[in-house]
Amino acid sequence: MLKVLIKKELRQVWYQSFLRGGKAGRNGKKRSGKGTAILWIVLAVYLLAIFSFVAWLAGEQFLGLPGLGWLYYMLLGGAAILFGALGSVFSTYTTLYLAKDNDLLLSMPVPVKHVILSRLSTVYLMGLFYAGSIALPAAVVGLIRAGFSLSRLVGSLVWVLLITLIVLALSCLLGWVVARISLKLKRKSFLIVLLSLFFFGLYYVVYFRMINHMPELIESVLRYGEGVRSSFNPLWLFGRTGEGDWLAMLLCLAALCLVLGLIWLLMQRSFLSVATASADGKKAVYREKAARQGSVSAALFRREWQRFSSSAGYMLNTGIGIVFLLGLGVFLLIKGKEYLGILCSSIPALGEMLPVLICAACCMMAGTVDISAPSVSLEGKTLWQLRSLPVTAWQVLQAKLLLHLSAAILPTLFCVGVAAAILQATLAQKLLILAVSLLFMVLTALLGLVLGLKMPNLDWTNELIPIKQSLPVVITMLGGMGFALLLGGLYVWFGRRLGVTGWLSAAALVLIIANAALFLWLRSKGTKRFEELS
Amino acid sequence: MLTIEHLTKRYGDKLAVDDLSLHIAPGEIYGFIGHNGAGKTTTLKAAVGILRFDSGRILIHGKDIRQDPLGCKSILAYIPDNPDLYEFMSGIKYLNFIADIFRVSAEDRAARIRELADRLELTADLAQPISAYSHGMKQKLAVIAAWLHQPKLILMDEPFVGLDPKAAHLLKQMMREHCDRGGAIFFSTHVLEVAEKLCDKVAIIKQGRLIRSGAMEEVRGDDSLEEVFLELEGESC
Repeated sequence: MLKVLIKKELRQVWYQSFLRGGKAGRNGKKRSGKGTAILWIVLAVYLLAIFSFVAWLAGEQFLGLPGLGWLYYMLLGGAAILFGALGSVFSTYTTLYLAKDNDLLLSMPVPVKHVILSRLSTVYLMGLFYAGSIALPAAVVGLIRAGFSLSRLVGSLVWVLLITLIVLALSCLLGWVVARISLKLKRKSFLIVLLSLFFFGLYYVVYFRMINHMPELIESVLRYGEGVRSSFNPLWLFGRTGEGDWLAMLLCLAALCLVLGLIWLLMQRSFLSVATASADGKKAVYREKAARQGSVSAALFRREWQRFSSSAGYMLNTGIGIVFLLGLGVFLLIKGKEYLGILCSSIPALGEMLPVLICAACCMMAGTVDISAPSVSLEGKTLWQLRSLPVTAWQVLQAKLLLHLSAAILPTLFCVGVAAAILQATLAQKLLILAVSLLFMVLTALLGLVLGLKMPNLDWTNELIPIKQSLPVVITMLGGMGFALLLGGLYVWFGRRLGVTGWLSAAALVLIIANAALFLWLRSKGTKRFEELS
Repeated sequence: MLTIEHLTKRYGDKLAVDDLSLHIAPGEIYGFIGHNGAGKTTTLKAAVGILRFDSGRILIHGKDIRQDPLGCKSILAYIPDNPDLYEFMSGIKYLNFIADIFRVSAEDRAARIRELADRLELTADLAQPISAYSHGMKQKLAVIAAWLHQPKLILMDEPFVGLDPKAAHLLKQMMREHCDRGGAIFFSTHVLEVAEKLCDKVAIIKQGRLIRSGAMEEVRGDDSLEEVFLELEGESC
């Protein structure tokens, strides 16, 4: 039974991620999904390449020195858990409790625990994809740099397994907490967002505080040797598993099994009551109010906003960049001058290219706002409404663009404004940083919408599939990172010849051309594509 | 009010609707019957402008759906077989959204929502999110939304599915009243007794082809609609 359910879940992920429902294309032929699968593989290789490089650098630091190998595994393990949690923790609640076929499965002679386990298989896979993209290259690099042995090989495998299971445990725990809270509260989508951000922020603070204390820790390890272990015992044990310590592996696995067992009990006990609960506990009382007549554009924009603000998954996964932008802005406001001063004094060459690097960092943050990318797919089975109403496809697409831009513009302006204010640069350079960042924000909105129209998935059973497991979102997000890397990296290579002002002007020009091209595509072919969706 | 001329629609190699022609005049309730997969929904969706078709012409109140889709859509309303409404809205927000799109004035919409929601007994639930609605409640909301902007033509796909007997009775009344005021209704149904009692005209479709259409009395003759339908189904087999 469980095998059948897991197969169904995996098939669903396969069809909805690769074949987009296996629907026939415009020529009536079934899509093979090969192109989409290749794109996913390219993205996975892209991530693996980036993190292999990071792991190699970390390995150089820690794996060469005796007694510090565990630090390598602990640090990269922590980063993998952070990345994995970011990838899967926000989706557990929706995947487990809000799947559209929950009622159907629960009406069948299927044990509840099998339903939960099968749902968890996709949560695990999601965590594996994200956490594995750091953990797997880190494990391989660890084996190459520290030398191969059977215990190290088994240790590396157990270490990767531990990471993915910790991500699963964190996801389940947060999913369960959110589920309990959502049963009692009305405005739950905003609360889920706040709660998730709190958990994420907490982990982020703990992890980076640990990194800040790393020099002292390394010094202690080198000075006192084994004695320092006692104060970092669980982390030390976790790090030691990667080094192939059999006892550490056994203890870590046993502890994790215990934690997972407890979480499993919690989930099993509450699953039915949460999954079958009606939307809100208390019935809202209707009181007639005088409504104002609004314009068609305003109505369509309001509809987009209501869609966005009603879904915690949508807000968290595509709007988290707003928090990043605000966070970076606040950080720059408080510590920016001090940090930039230290940076410039320790690496004098950096001073000249700082405007470009700051601009690249702002673009990277702005690129993590991907609200427009899943917006077409999210129409799902309700698409018939827009198609039967007297509104043009362009009006609909405009509303989607407007939501993205209106959500991203103020945080981007704040972040870039602060960056420009604290930076020692000419007025022209400051204005160019602002222009490039804003143009890039517009590009992200346009690109997301274009990709959403080119690769729509209207047959989802869980809204997180178009939000999280769809190529438009992943490409838009990674495209932002790619652009930022190009902007900074190419400047170091050959952009210097143009100077900061020239380089940023060239970037602005490229962005204007790209934006114009995407806008024209949307206006002509994009609207036609939308009209052909079914 | 609705003229369909030589409508043909293919899905790949499959011919879903084959050279179908129909005319629905103001004041008529036109029933559309056929087995599952016969092409009813495809025809309705093509008439609403949701689905592109391969050949033929569809006119709504004299306007071509392909040349003036917005003009056509502004005078029609459509209720699909499964009312997937915006679950992230409450009932009243949904109705206000529809009213804004059709530019219904504030005064008119308030009066119409009050009247229609009271009639279908949905007023108390209008503040609830649509996600909390039952299938029948969603169907009622879709009916209110369809009637809200006073369209000339209403197209419905299996409108009675999910409605309780009282609501189904009310809907039949509303359909008749709409046509008495000069509007027209084109709807598909599998409930032949309803079609027989309610419709002025009926069309029977099989495998995409119209096999009989006309006034109810003509199509039915001395038999019941069920007998005629089953006989035609048998003949075609």
